[in-house]
Amino acid sequence: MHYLTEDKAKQALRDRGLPVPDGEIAASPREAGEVARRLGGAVAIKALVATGRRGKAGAIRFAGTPAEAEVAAAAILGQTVNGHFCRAVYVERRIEIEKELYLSLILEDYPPKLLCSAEGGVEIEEVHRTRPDSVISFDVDPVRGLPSWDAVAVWERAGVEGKVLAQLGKLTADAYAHFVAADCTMLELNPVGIDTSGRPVVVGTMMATDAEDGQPAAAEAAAGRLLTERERRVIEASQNLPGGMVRYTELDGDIGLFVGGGGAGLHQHDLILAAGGRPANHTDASTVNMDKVRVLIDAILDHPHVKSLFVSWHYQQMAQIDKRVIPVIEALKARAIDPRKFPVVIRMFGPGEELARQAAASLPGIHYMPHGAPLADGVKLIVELTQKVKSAEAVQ
Amino acid sequence: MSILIDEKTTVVIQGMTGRQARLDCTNCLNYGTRIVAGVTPGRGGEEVLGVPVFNTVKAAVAEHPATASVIYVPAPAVKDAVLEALDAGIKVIVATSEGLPRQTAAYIVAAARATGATIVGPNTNGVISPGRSKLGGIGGVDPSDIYVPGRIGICSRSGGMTAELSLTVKRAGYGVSTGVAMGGDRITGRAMVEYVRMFEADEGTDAILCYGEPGSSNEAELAAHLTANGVTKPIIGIIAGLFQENYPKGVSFGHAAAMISLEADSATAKRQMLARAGVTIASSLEDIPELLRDHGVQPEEPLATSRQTVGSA
Repeated sequence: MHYLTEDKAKQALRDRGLPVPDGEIAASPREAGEVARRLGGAVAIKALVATGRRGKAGAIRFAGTPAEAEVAAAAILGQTVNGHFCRAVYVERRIEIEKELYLSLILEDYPPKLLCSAEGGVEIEEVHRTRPDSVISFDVDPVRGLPSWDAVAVWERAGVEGKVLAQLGKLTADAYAHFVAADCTMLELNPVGIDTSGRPVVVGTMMATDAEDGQPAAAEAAAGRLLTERERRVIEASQNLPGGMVRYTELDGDIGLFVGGGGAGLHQHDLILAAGGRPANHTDASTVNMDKVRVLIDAILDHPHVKSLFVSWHYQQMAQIDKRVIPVIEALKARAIDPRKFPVVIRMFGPGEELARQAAASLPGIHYMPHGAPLADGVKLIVELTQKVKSAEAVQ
Repeated sequence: MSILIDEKTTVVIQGMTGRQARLDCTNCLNYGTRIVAGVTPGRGGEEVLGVPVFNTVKAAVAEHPATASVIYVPAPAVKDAVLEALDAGIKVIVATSEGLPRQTAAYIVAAARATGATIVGPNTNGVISPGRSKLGGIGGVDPSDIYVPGRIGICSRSGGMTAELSLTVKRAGYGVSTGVAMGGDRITGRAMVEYVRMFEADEGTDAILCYGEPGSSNEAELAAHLTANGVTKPIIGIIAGLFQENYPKGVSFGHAAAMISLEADSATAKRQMLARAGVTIASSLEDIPELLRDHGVQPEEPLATSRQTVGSA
């Protein structure tokens, strides 16, 4: 998922002809003052971070003059808003609003939905909770699209009447056109203001696309913390080396986990916790590029808390498993790891299994599960062996 | 019996000249899948793996009638490939591609639904009716090592778990009527509840295994169906991803998601809503055989034994 900052989201809508107030980025209080002067009159100063709930976090302020804009920008710049460091602000011409509407397009599950309410603003979830009927949900047929007359009918149901309906219908259809063209998963315009001359104007904008952005910043936002050096290495490899992706997220346990990340990876992680084990990480990988696998394995083994390694994917039906097991064995050898002291359990079945077993056999002490062994058996063994290592350490 | 595909199903392969397609098709042909034609624009008139290749699906099915298609084209070409298959009257489309934009997925799903066709996927390794036919890479080179014929229906959000579920029941003497990897993406051609209804209607299926994950409304829809219509065949659900609830969540972006979700879509919430609707929840794969026996579902009689019985009677 990629979350756009307000400047980019609003420029995209402006380019498509939607009514969006003028606004510019400023990276310092002085620049914010200059932008305010150029825009003339009152402005809103908002932290330029791709996160929700900025108003409630104190990251949106209002200013009547350029001098006030400088003060407001100084208060916001350098703040951390919901885990995002604020390096710039968005300075936007302030529009007098008589009424706030809520408009959202969302594609989570099929089909896409249009949500409209005549009671927009930051309290929309509360409005929906107390009076669910005041938020209209409309299923959009992706083949038919969302013509303006469908949107007019939805706004009418939401209780909007009068001349503004026509403009709102067009605004909504235009927003939908962008929603589809830009591969958005969410486009929320909250509020859509009705200005003093009765025209709709897009005041709040949040846009998410399903582009895999793979940037460390996105991973940090998702994790709610800074990335470790090992996690950064894996992201870099995932982006720069060819063939499939690799993902690596550190946790606070001690069992190094090399799983495919699909269903079997999730299930095994659950089973490890249920058996009393604690994974040091979770992984997700689709690559058979051995260099890429090696970067991931190195990260897992370099984690200072790791006391064992569990290599267990679902039964592979298409991919060669030797290309995933051989880099593991090489990484263990390169570190002179003795699997009799640092337990290694492998449960990898499928094409290339013989080669994988040969490679594993070259390092004494590795437990390679018999062909077809249940997934839970591997889990039990790694948890048990890890526990033994820890008990032995405790005795010493 | 089975759902979606059986030994009579005839298949065209869109993008058959590519590397992955050839690999999968070799395994499918060895398994007995009736691949009647390939389609790759510009390669019409050639033969691949002994199968004639055409420039369009329409031309292919005009000479070799087919009801199913497997699509191997890259993500940007998937939309047209699906629409072309629908236009030629194809009813079961396996869309293997990963990385399809969600908007494109929504569009092809709507288009298929409008014609009554089923898209399996996107992001799937396919569907298998053991001993009869398989579409896609499912089962790999040696499908019988994982999938044996039987009377358990499998519907899974993960291709890997389709295999692990089948292995689990195979070890306990059960076989599979049809295994469907419904697709790993959030939007799939059919919802879990629709596959369950196909299995409910299938005389060859005695019990149904469903594998789900956090995210998506699949389990909520299934629970609503079972609550409204009752449970007609034992359904065992296995929902992974419990561990994700131990870790912090980021701040939500926008309000819409919070308003349209009927219930939280965590693994715990899904387990609870399915259990309330009459689904038996397995917390580990290994629990499944015992749960099947609890429901009175018996392992298959080995074919040789049943023949002997008939012979001695």
